[in-house]
Amino acid sequence: MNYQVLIVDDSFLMRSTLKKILEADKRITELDEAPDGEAAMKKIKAKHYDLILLDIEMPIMNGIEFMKRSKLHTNAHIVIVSSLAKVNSPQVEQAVSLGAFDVVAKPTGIVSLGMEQLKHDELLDIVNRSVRVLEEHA
Amino acid sequence: MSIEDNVLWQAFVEEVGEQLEFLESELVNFKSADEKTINEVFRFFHSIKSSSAIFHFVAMEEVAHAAETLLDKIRQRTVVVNDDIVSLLLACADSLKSQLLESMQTLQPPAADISLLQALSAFAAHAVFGDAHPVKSAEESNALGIDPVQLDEFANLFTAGMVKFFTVIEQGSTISRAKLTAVEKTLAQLVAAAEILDMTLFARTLGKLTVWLQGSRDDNKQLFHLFQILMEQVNAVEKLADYRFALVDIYDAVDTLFGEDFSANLAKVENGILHCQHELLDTRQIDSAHLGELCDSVDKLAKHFSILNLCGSTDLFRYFSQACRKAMVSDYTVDAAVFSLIHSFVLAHGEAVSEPLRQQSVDQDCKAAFRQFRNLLDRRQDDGFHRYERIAELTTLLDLEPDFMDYVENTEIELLENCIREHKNIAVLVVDIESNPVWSAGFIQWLNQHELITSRTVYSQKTVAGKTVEHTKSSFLVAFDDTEDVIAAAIDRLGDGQSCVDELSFRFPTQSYKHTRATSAPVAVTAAAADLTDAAIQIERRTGDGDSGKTLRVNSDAIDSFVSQVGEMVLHRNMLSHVLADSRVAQMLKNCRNVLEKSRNGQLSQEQMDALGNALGSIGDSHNQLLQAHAKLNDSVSRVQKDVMTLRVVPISIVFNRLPRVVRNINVNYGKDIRLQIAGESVRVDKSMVDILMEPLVHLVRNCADHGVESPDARRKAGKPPHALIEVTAEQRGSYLEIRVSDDGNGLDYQRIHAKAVQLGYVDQRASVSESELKMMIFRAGFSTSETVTEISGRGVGMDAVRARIAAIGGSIDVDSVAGKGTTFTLKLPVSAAIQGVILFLHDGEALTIPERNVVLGLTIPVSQIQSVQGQAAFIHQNKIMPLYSLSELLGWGNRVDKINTHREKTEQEVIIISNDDCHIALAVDKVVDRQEIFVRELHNDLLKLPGVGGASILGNGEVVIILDADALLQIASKQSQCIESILKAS
Repeated sequence: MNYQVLIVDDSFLMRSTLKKILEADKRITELDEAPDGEAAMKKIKAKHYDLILLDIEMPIMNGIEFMKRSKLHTNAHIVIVSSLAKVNSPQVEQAVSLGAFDVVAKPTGIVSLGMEQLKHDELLDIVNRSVRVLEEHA
Repeated sequence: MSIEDNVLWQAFVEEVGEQLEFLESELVNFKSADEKTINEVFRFFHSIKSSSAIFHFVAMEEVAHAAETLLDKIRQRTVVVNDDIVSLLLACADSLKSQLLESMQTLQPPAADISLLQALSAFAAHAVFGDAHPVKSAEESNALGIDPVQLDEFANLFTAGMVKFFTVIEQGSTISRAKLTAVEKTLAQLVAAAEILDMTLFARTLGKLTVWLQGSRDDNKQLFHLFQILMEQVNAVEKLADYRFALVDIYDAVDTLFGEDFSANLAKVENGILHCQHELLDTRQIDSAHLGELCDSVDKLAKHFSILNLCGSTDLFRYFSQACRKAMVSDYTVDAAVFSLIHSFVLAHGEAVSEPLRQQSVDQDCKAAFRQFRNLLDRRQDDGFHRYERIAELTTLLDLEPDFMDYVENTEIELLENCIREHKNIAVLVVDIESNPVWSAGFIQWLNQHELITSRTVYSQKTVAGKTVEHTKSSFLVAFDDTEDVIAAAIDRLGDGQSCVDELSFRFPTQSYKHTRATSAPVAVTAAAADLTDAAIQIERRTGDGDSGKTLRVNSDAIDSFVSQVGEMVLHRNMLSHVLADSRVAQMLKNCRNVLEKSRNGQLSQEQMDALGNALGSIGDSHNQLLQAHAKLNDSVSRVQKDVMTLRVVPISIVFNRLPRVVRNINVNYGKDIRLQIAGESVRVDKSMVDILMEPLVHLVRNCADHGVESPDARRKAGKPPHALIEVTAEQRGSYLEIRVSDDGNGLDYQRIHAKAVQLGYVDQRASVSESELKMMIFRAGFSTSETVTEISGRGVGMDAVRARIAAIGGSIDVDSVAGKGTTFTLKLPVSAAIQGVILFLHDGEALTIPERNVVLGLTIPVSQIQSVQGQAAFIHQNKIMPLYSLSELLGWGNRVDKINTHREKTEQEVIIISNDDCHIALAVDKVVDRQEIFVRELHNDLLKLPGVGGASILGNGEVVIILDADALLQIASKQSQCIESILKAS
């Protein structure tokens, strides 16, 4: 199958990290990035995505506004990638009530100094689940 | 794989580094930060926290987390930003920076900054946080129960969808299948969106529209009916949600489609007309509520007429309602004439609609009358509404007396507006002109040098000897180029001790005026603001993704390597030029031909001769082609070289951004009141210069702050404003860059410098030393006049290092000082540190170069003129003794036997006189070759340790050449002959 993913985060490092993690899943055929909600809106209007990994704190258009707007354009699964301490924040709750597919903590400690080991099981599990849901619908 | 090669590690180092740079410059002026900046700073700490977590750098994570928590409080307005908070946040940024540096060096997680964390938790424990005052969010739901953001998105979608729908169906039967499918898809998306938002009625109507589209598409009446229902639904949503759809776009799309097919709508339009007429008759006395209703109905009418496609008329109605709306908030009146005009149009339009035949002529009438109407309204607006609006804005902006409006002239308003735009300082001056004629004469003369905007007489009552006397004063509104302190000082001087000025108050616009940036505190803030925008651009450029297509994120190492490879290419091109320029090739060809010619009757057969001749001919041809190709290559290589240099060019603001922080630290830690003014931060320099310039500039600013600027008390005594000003400006002048750092302090203290110079043994106690010689003393190693060694400067390791740094990149530094007025350091720097002009010469058969800037002149002297003064070779040059050195001697290449005096076999000696402004020496060389521009290559550190060696390059012939460090040579020379000055004086 064709599984397309969009990563929306203002940090270049975070985008690169998420990208590296997701590269492990070979079903993902396309991995695009956007640095803020507005850029992401342009992307989703031009192209279909199955999964959107979304940061909340972003310039120009934040994750919450992006969720509200994108809902009218796409039924992509939106997974909130939130920093650890904020998993229970009101914003995350709002995102969930807006229909976020899941919330996952930002990857921590996954790049150990001296070696390259990138694994974020939780994130990959969510991708698995998202793919399964899509296949069931298909 | 080691961590250094890890792309994520590189991204971490770069991104966090950039964010910290940005934070530092934002935080300096954080007290006056707006909401956007606070959010941005919050986001950066937040982002650093997440980034640190990726590498499990717990120490950084903790600091960033604490800063983020504090900023969240600021963001929610539970705490007001004060100096303590700014210092704390800056400490966080500093700590993160040093932790980042630490981890970059050790490649280990950085150690925790326990003292900072303690300070943070202590602060959190003691700070009093108020209740959250969340910024009034747009989340509040409206009567419709739809989230405003989603409604906005839906409106965008709806408008775009409708425009698409109507433009496509306009094409009638010729619509292609593909386009039809696209429109169907758009409608389907709209339906889905409406359903998501629970706008079921909308969804249903849109669904009917889809059915119409899929049908025969010939029933325009039904289409219009559906459209009308949609518009009614839109109107209902607009009212309930207090939101405006961008309907004009849709009307424009609909306009041409429906044309005259609208008689069905007549009843509605006529109702509108009747309603309007009624309003018009009733509202001779303008009541704003009525006028508002009228505007609404006229707007509605305009919409309908727009659909009816009556040219000109819709504009008129929109214009009318616009004018009425303005009239409600101003003293501009919509009077009977205007009303009767609009009245007649409404009537004419009503008739036009009922009699389609008349439409054409009405259109014509409309157009003519519209012009007339517009002119009428425009005139009114110009002298009524517009004037009112401008003055009202100016009055609040500058906090002027309300009656300002009554006396100000239109031309004066313009003048004032211009002054504000030009960031002049506006002040109100109230002056007692009459009581002191002498003073007043001086005052008026002074006033005339500035921009006088208005003047008027104000009356006040004064009690003189028990009697109340009517007293008149003059009030002036004046614009100044100078700062408030300069003006205040100037007025004080005018007063000659006694001042007749009753009031001098500066009116700083607190908000921007007509999209112009405000000049609230003209000194520091605007410069800093400009910095920040530059920095913002910088950040944006870097964080934006590749989509913008304009910028790329490139590792600076890659650019450096590219630049150096292009440099190498230039060198190879030069080598090629060298070979091709060798006239021997052409000469050899000629010789060959001659030989051939001569041996015509010799042993070679005619055939052999011809073959040889041909061969020579084609060699000659290809040589010519080679020359042509070389000329072209030359061209393109030069262009590439030029372009590549621009790749490394960055705004100098990167360096300047550091300075506000430096000044702030000094102010906070040493009780000074220094403002920093920065100009020319957009001047671009080679990136290599940024790293080199950073320290010297910071040092110069510190030096000004510490040595130059007096304490506020001393300043007041000297009649200066208590706060000092340090100006840093950059300016590009041709191929070099000039940076000036100046203060308005006390200037250099020559007496103290002299005393110190004597103490250090640089000059003789009794010798008289000129000021210009003295001022150069401060650039000497170990020279500091500061009695107490402070943190800021005065450790005596500064100015000589600054000078060395600047000299190393081919720049020079100069200092100017006016006693009591201030000191100015002027740096002259090449725009790029990579290419230098040098003088090439031969020494002992070895090619060597020396930077052009250090060379005073080259000359040839008869050996007989070389004398020995106290064992030092020297000759007389321009009536001065010029010590002469052998390079081998200075560089330690030969032994001292190889002295110049021993070269008796020569009758003449070529010398190069070098200088560093302080002193001159001559170097004996074999031969001066020429001046060249060379690409400076970095030398291995071990080679740089060799005395007198500054760098290296490759010459056109491929030979490696050393670039000598003239300053080092001069130092070695002065060490060798303990004190050149004493030799000079002995003469």
